[in-house]
Amino acid sequence: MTDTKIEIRPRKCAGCLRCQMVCSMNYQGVFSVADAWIQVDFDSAEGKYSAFFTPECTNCGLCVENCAFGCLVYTEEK
Amino acid sequence: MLEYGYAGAVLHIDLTTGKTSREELSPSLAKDFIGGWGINAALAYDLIKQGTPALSPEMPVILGAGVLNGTLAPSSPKSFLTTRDPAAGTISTAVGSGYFGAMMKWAGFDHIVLHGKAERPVYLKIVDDHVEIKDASQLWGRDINAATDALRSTVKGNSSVLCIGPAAENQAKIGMALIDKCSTMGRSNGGNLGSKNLKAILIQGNKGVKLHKEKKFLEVVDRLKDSALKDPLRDKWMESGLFFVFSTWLKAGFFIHENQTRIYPVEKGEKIFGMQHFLKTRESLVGCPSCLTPDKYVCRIVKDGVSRSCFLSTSLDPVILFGFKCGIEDFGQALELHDTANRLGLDELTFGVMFDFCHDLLKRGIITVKDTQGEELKKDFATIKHLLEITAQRKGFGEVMAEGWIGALKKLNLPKEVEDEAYHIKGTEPDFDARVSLGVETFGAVTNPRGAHDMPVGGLTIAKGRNVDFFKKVTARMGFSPALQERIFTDTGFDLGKLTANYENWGILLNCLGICFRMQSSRLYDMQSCVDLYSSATGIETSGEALTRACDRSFNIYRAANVREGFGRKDDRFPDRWFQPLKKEDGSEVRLQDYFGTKVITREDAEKILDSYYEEKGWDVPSGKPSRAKLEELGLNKVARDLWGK
Repeated sequence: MTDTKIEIRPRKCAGCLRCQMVCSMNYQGVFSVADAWIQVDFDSAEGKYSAFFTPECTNCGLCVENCAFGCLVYTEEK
Repeated sequence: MLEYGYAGAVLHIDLTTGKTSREELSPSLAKDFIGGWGINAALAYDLIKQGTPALSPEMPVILGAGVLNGTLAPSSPKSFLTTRDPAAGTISTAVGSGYFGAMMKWAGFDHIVLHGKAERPVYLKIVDDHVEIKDASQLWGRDINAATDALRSTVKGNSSVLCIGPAAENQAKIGMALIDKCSTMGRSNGGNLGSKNLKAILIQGNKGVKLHKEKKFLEVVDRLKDSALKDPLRDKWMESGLFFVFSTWLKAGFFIHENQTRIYPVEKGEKIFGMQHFLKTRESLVGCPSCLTPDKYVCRIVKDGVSRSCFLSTSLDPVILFGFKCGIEDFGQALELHDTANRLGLDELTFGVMFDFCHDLLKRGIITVKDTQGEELKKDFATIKHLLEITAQRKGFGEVMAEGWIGALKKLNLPKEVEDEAYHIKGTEPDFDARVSLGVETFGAVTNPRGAHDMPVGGLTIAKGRNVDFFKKVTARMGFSPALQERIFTDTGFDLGKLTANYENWGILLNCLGICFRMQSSRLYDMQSCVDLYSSATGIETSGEALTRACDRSFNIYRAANVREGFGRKDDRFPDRWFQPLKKEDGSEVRLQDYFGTKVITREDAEKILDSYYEEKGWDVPSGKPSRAKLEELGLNKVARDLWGK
């Protein structure tokens, strides 16, 4: 049996926040990064982005489909 | 009540009394001026009293978010800051990006108006409805990067910081605010925050933006997204931004030095500043919210064994300003000087061109080291770095540079014919030189009420060699009707005045909606997608004609705010430099010509282009004032009375 998992590649993130906006709109009916089940932060001192999924994430993959930078990708787990 | 698309509120903060108040955003203001840039212009007309000095407590600073900020509409991050430009004296809207506009919307505000002056240095902390005026004594004097990092670390989760550096704290008139250390709040105007003792605004929004018709909105977004992802040039834009066109522009003669008299040599330019130098320092991309083709960067500067990050909003700027204008012949040094200017919060564009001018005057013996207070104005790294620092501190000759063009020319007390050489329009130097390409960007720099800033950009007439069919196709996408096109275009050319007058409305529409006008982003949009996004987001049904009319109204009230301050046709002036030949390295000369290169343009021809522009705008041709009839037709009856009497 295989299962899909979403891998975050933070070095590819450009900070567009589209993943957060599409998630919050789909599940909360509002564009709100605070309500998204993926959180993106920016270390402004180093100029680096980081991201993580909150426990509410359903692994639906909407964020993957809307990531234009290859930061969020499906991986297969056996 | 504006429930969808808009946040529906204006936040007023009085820094003198410490009081804040929330006001509902009037639906009629939204209908008449759309939002963002347009509503900022309307608020400025109402709130700025005629004759109020730029750096006084009575001068308000008006911040605005574009209607689509904080949504998935591709590349819609633009926010705005309107006040009196302290260097130019015009009523001026600066344009910024980064996270600021989106955070404003998510916090529940379309506009924020700053009044008064704090007694001591403060910063604003806005987290949704919680607005605090906080002590900034530990931040005052620190550079923009250090202050921004310190402020961001005080909140959990993502946030945005609009911050000034030492230059604007000292009220240098070419002081500038940066958003998130990277995005410029479009030049000067930063001194106004310094004059209010306001170091920064830290904002975090957690409320979000609701849409009226989510499905329809997302359909349009998906279509635009597909188009952006299929753009064959997308990877190149993201790899190097404007550096992508460096070689083309170098060969086309876009890079001018030696006080706007000579085109930079091609071979030398490639060798010192070619793409390979940028790519060596480029570390990662910085995107604005919803952007699909970002072109801001984190670069890495390594010097004396110490490594530090450097943020780059426009990849070519260090080369253009510090390489070509200041004569630095090393990419790394140019980048370091850019980083210094950004940390100090100085407008490097004005600094670079003014330095080149002063250097030339000193070389020709028109001014002496007595005038420069001992500075030799050498084109080397140490001199430029020192000058940036003393300009931010307003010390020595830095006091002259900090004034910007108008103030510096007064202080230098030059003969009239030398003063006329100064390369500025209403106190700001144009980014592009009309001798290389006379089009909507360069002519638009003449007519922009703010000064020679880019208003209708997107690269329409920057590139040479395009034909009338191309322009007809592109302007049709912007909502130009066949009848309008008939008036503008002939079989072989266009009426530049009329084209610019209408193209400005498209630029304003993008600004009202908050859409980025960098080439790779603005060209995704057409009028119908703007109409569909606006209507589905806000629930306000509209049309291309209604939006264009609202843009026309917005531009007229912006112009009127400046006419009220004494600006007019006399200030919409082609710089003298444009009528002098530009020398190429082989000794040949480039003269001001029409876009298609069919005839040389004289001062008399330039005045005719202006006549045509004013006629198309419906303005009084001799004075360049919006006419009474035009203002009344737009429903701006009070403005008509203000400008023309009862």
